[in-house]
Amino acid sequence: MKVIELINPSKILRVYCYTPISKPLNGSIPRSNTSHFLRLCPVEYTYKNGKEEKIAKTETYLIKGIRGAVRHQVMKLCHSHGLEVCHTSDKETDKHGNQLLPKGFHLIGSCKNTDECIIHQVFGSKRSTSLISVYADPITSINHATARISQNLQNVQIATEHRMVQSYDGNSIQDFGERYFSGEFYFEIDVTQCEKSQLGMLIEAIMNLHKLGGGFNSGYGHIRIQKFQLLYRSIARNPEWDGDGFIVKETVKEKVRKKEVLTSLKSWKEYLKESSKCN
Amino acid sequence: MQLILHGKFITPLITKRTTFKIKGCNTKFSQPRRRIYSKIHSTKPMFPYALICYLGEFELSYSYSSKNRANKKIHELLRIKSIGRYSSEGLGKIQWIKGELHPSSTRSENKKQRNSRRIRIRKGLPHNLPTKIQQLIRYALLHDFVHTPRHKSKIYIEPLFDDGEFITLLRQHHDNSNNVLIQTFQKYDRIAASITRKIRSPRTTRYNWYSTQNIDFTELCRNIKEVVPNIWKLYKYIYESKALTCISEALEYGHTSLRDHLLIIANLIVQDFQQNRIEVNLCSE
Repeated sequence: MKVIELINPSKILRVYCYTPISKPLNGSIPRSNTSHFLRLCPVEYTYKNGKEEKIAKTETYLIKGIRGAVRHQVMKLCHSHGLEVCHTSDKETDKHGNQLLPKGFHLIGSCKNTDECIIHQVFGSKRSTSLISVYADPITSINHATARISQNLQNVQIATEHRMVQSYDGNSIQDFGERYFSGEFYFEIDVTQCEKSQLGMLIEAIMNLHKLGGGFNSGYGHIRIQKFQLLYRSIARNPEWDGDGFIVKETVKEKVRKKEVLTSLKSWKEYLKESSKCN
Repeated sequence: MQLILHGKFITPLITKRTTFKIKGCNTKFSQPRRRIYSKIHSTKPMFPYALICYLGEFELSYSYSSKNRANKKIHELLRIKSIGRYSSEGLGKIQWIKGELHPSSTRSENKKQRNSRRIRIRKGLPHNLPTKIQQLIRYALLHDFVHTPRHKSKIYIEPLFDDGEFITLLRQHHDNSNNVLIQTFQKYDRIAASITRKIRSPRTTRYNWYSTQNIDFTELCRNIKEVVPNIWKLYKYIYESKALTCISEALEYGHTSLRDHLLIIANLIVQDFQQNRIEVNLCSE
């Protein structure tokens, strides 16, 4: 059988970051007072203990909320440039009469049929699909230096922070825990369907990205962008026959594109100029 | 011929069921891991959404007629990167592992026997029933149409069958008898009655609370007499009869219907026969 290549090679924006402490949590599990990450399937890996090879299992977790963080950063960026874009809210006020929609924004999806804003084009809304998809390889915490893992995993420090709400005479009355991770990690944005101006907007927003997960005001969730790359990735899946069945083997080829980053940033600036003229 | 593809969901797929479809192919999780995905709206003061999702290894099956079709399907499936809701946030990411091609369909071999006690009312009786079971079903379907010391025929008129011995047996269906046929029938009769009799609502006539028009009992009796020799026709007649739905099975339970009572007994017998819970020899006299 022929090698199966995915139709179009995808365009990936890979971002390398560092966080001292971050808590993109999913919620507490039943009968626990600790908030956890979204737990994925455990993964087996091998490591060397002297000359002996041993097998161990490690828990893997998903970094949630990257897409939301990028979207909020893009919103901020567009607002600073004087563009009126979609907000995440679909209501102007709550039931108590408090204003939910800040100035300089419109309700999500309200621009869909008239003059579609750039955020709605990229991120979509309830009944219109998004152009991008954000994904980060699962994170795990492996202490063995000689560990060999078959899957794509990111090794970071994962631990629990125990906190106290109320205490009396040195003893805690109410306490809770929160899982956090710390270290270098990366995430990817699939920008295959994006136009150059949209890609430029995303790149500028990512360069200023500084927030991920909860507790930002208390010092958590600060991230520092170290590096980003624009890659052209082609994935080939090859079913290798073995008797009655076959094993699917995946080969990935990547090429770094430097010029496209600069051209897309240029077209984003042109887009801003045009929109300011219209206003 | 069947194609079986094995894969793995790296990130959870938002679904309430562990069986679903990918490009029209039946898929099920082999060892599902249940998770709850929460979603927060930071701009709104509201509770987070909680969505049920599953991840882990899955098995996809596709039955094909020619090898070309199988190859096409493999090409179509291996191109998929992710499926389901919130795939733009990284959910539902698929990793394909391996595949198998089975020359003969293994569907019937893999199909598990259903051993649930839940009753399914069939449209018709199965064809391959032994004569002893047929006799038991005929006894069950006709037992309420004869006069007994405890009650008269539930359709007021007794259809006159040709088989005299069988009528005498039918008339004894309330008695303590050593006959195995009567004993086995009584067991099913009690189970069916316990299923249908839930709320007491006495009636003075055989018409139940759902009846809206008068029933021609003589015609009903004549029609039953015509279909008695063939149990498949008899079952079909009872299944389609609107008159029998308007007749209550017991005078003290006005919401029940005679049709449902008879069909439940017949289906209980068939179900037990198919699941090997009833011995054919038991029906012998």
